[in-house]
Amino acid sequence: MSEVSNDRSPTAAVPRPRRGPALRRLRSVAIAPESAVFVVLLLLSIGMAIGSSNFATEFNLQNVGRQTSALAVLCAGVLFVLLVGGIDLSIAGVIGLTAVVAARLAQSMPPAEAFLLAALVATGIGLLNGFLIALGGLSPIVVTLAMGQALLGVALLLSPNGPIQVSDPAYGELAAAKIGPVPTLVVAALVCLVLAHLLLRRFSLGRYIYSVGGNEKAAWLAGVPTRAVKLTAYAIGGMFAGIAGILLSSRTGSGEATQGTTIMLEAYAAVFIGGVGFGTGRGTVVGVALGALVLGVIGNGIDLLGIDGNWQYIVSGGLIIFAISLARVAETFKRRHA
Amino acid sequence: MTAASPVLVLRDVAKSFSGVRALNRVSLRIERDECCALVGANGAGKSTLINIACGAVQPDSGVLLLGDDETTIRSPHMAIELGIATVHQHDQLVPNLTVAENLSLGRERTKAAGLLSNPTRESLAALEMVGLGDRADDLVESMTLAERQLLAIARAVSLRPRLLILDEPTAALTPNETKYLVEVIERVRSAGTSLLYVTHRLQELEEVADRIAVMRDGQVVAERPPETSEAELVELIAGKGIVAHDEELVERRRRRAFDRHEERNAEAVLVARGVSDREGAFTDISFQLRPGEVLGIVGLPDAGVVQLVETLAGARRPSDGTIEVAGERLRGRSPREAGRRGIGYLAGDRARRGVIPNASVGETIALSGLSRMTRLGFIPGRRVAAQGEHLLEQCQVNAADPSVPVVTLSGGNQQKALFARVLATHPRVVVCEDPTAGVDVAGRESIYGLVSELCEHGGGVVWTGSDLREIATVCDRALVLWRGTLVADLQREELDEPTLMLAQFKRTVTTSQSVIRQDHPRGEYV
Repeated sequence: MSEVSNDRSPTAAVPRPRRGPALRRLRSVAIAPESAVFVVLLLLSIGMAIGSSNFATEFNLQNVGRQTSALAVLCAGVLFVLLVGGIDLSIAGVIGLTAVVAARLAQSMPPAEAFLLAALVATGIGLLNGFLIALGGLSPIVVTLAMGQALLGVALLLSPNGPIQVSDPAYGELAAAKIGPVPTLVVAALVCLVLAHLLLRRFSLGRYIYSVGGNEKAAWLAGVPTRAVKLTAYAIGGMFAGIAGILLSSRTGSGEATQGTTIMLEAYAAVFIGGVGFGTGRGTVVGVALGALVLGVIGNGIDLLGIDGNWQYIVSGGLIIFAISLARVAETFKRRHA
Repeated sequence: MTAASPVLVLRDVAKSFSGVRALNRVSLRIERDECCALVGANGAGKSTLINIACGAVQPDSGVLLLGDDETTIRSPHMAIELGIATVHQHDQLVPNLTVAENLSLGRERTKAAGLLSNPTRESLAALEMVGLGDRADDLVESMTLAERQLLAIARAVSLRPRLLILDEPTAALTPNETKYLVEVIERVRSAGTSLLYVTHRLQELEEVADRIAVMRDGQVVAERPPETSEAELVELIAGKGIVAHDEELVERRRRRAFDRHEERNAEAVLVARGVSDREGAFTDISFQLRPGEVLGIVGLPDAGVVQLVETLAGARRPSDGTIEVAGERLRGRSPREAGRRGIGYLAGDRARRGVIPNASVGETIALSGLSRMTRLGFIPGRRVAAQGEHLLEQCQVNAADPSVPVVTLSGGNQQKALFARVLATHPRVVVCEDPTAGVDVAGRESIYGLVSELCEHGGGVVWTGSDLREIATVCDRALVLWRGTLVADLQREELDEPTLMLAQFKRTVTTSQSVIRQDHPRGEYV
C-alpha cells in the first residue's frame, strides 16, 4: 500500500488521476473468483462434449438445466445467509416440509395456490430463524440445526404414508413445460436469481448485507440497522429454500420429507465452489449460480459416462477444497502485489 | 550478583516506530527489593519501555543489564526465564478455566500417562499471597475485575520473578480495591521481588512506591522520592518547558466561524443534561455545544471520555439524563437513530470500527446516507454516484476510482473517505474519536480543513484524542473529565497543552472561573 499525499491547501481542487477505467474493470473481472469458476465450467463442458456425444444435445442440456434449477435457487438463499456471517442448516428441513405441504395442499386446491402457501411457510420459518439469531442472539449453527431437525419431524408426521403423490398433472407442469426450448423450471430459477442479484446490487438491503458481513461492528456504528438486516437475510434464505423445495417437488410430482438432505450439502458445495467466503461478506449470485452449474454438469457427466454415481460426492468435495485453496492463493498473491 | 547490584538497568535505550521516536536514549535502574513507580503522559514512552523490558519489543540501541550482566531479551518467554514477569493491562486470562488452571497455564505438570497433576505448592502460595487462596476452583469468568487483576499478579508471582512489572494495575479498580492491591504489592515486595509500577494515578504513589521515575518525550526526566507532592509530579509530567502560548498555534486555530459574535449566542446544536453511564464510566455530565464550535473532550484513560463520546454518538445508552440535538431528544438506541437526528459519528480505531473491508470507496462513502436517497429500498445509482464524486472531491480522497476497494487506500485517505461517509448524512453535529490517528501530515491538514468547513456552515464538532497539542489547536473549548466527572471547561483563551495536561490530573494552573471547583455539588454550568 503506498501512501498517496494530497495537495496541502484545502481550497485547491485536486484532479484525481484516472487510469483507464475500462482497463481497470476488465482486470477486476479477470481476477474475480467468478471468472475462475466460469473457466472451470467451460473446461468441464468442453471435456464432456468431447467425452460424450450425448452431452451437447438439446435434450441433455434441458436436462442439466432442470436438474440444476432447484440447486441454484437454494444456493441464492444460502448466499444471503452466508453474506451476513451466518449459516442456515435448516434448509434441508425447509425443503422437505415445503414439498410435503405443497403436495398435501395440492390435493385440495390448485397447484399455484399450494405453491404460494408453501413458500410463505418457508419464509415464515426463515423469519423465525432470523428472529432467534439476530434478535435473540442465539448461535446460528445450533438454532438452524435444531430447526432443521424439528422440521424434518413435522414433514414426516404430515406424510405418514411416505411420499405424497400428487394426482393433478398440473402439479408437475412447472417442471415438465417449456417456454420455447427452455424448461419452465429453468425460467423460474432464472427469475429467482435475477431477483436475488438485484436485491444485492441495486437495493440498500444488499449494501447493508455486504457491510454486515464485512464488519458488523463498523456497519452498526455507521448507521446500518444490523439486526434487521440479519433477520431479513434469514427470511430470504428461508424463502429461496422453500422455492427450491417447490421446484424439486414439482419435478418429482410428489412431496417427500427427506428430499432436502442431499441437496443441502450440494448447495453448500456449490456456494463455496462459487467463491463465497465464510464470514468475509464476499460472494455473488453469479458465482453461486456458476457453482451450481459446475455441480450440475459433473452430475450429468457421471450419468452419461456411466460412472458409479457416488463418485460425484468425491469430485464435489475435492472441488470445494480446490476452490478455497485457489482463493487462498489468489489472496496471498494479491497481498504480495498490492 | 552482589547484594548491592540492581535487578535491571536500562542504559541509553532508544526505540523508534516507523520514524517516530518513542524512546530517546532512556536510562533507568531498578534496585533490589524496591518498588519503582513510572509515571508520564500518554505517549511519553512508558509502554515502549515496559515492552522492551519484557522482551516484546527489541530496542534499536542501548544496553540492558540484568544483575551485572549485559543481556538481550529476545522474547517474552526469555524474559520470564530471566526472572522478569509482567502483568499487562489487559491480561491474558482464560475466562472459562478455573483459577488454578489459569495459574498453571502453559506450564502444566503431568503425571505418568499425561494426566495433569495438582497445582504446585508455589502456585497455591502465590494465590494465598494475593488473598485468593480459597478460590482455586472458581471459574475466572465469575470473578470481578479486581480479582482477575490479583490472579494475574499471582500468576506472575508464581513464576518467582526477580522483577515484576505492573502496567496500570489500578486503572479499573475502586478505591477500596486499590487499597487492597497496594497491600498485596507490599507483600510481594517483602517476599523479595522488585517491582516496576506504571500508573496514571498519582494519589497511590506515596503508599506504593519507594521511588518515582517521571517520563516525558521518551526519556526519564526526573526521579523523586515517594513523598513528592502531586503538584510537583504533574508539573514534571507536563513539562514546564512547553510554550504556553505558541503564537503559530493560535494563528492556525480554526475558529473563524465561532468568532462571529452572533453565533456565540446562537442556540445550542447539542445539549447534554445530567447524563450518566449505565456502567458508571461517567456521571452527571452537562454541557452545550453551539453552532460553529469545536469542543474537545479529554481525560486520562479511566476518565470515561470514550464512553461519553460513544453515548453522544448513540452507540451507548445512558442510564440517566438527556441529550438533545437541535431541540430533538436522542433516545440512545443506536448510531442509526443518532444519525437520523443529525449526529455523524467518526468512530476511533479505524480498522476495527470504521472500515468495512469488502466495500469499495464509493460504497463506503454512500453507506451512512443511503437510506436518505433510496426509494422503496432501490438505490438511485446515478444520484449516489454523483454525490460520491462530489464528496470525494470535497474531502480530497485520493482514490483512482470510486470502485477501488477502500482497504487499498492509505490510512489518511481511508479516514477522509470515512469523513465523507459522515458528511453524506448532512450532520448537525459530528462526533470524532481520534480522527487523525495514523494519518500523515497532509491528511491531517485536510481533516482540520473539513472540520472548519463544517463549522463555517453552522455545524458543531465534538473532538477527542490523545494528542493534547492538537486539541489545543483545533478546539474552541475543551471539557476535562476525571474519573467520570466533569472537572473543567476550558475556554479558548486557556487552551494550551500544559493546561490540558494539568487539568487531566485535576490540577489547575489558571484561576479561571470556568474551572469547576471541587466542592461544587453538581458540576453544572453552561
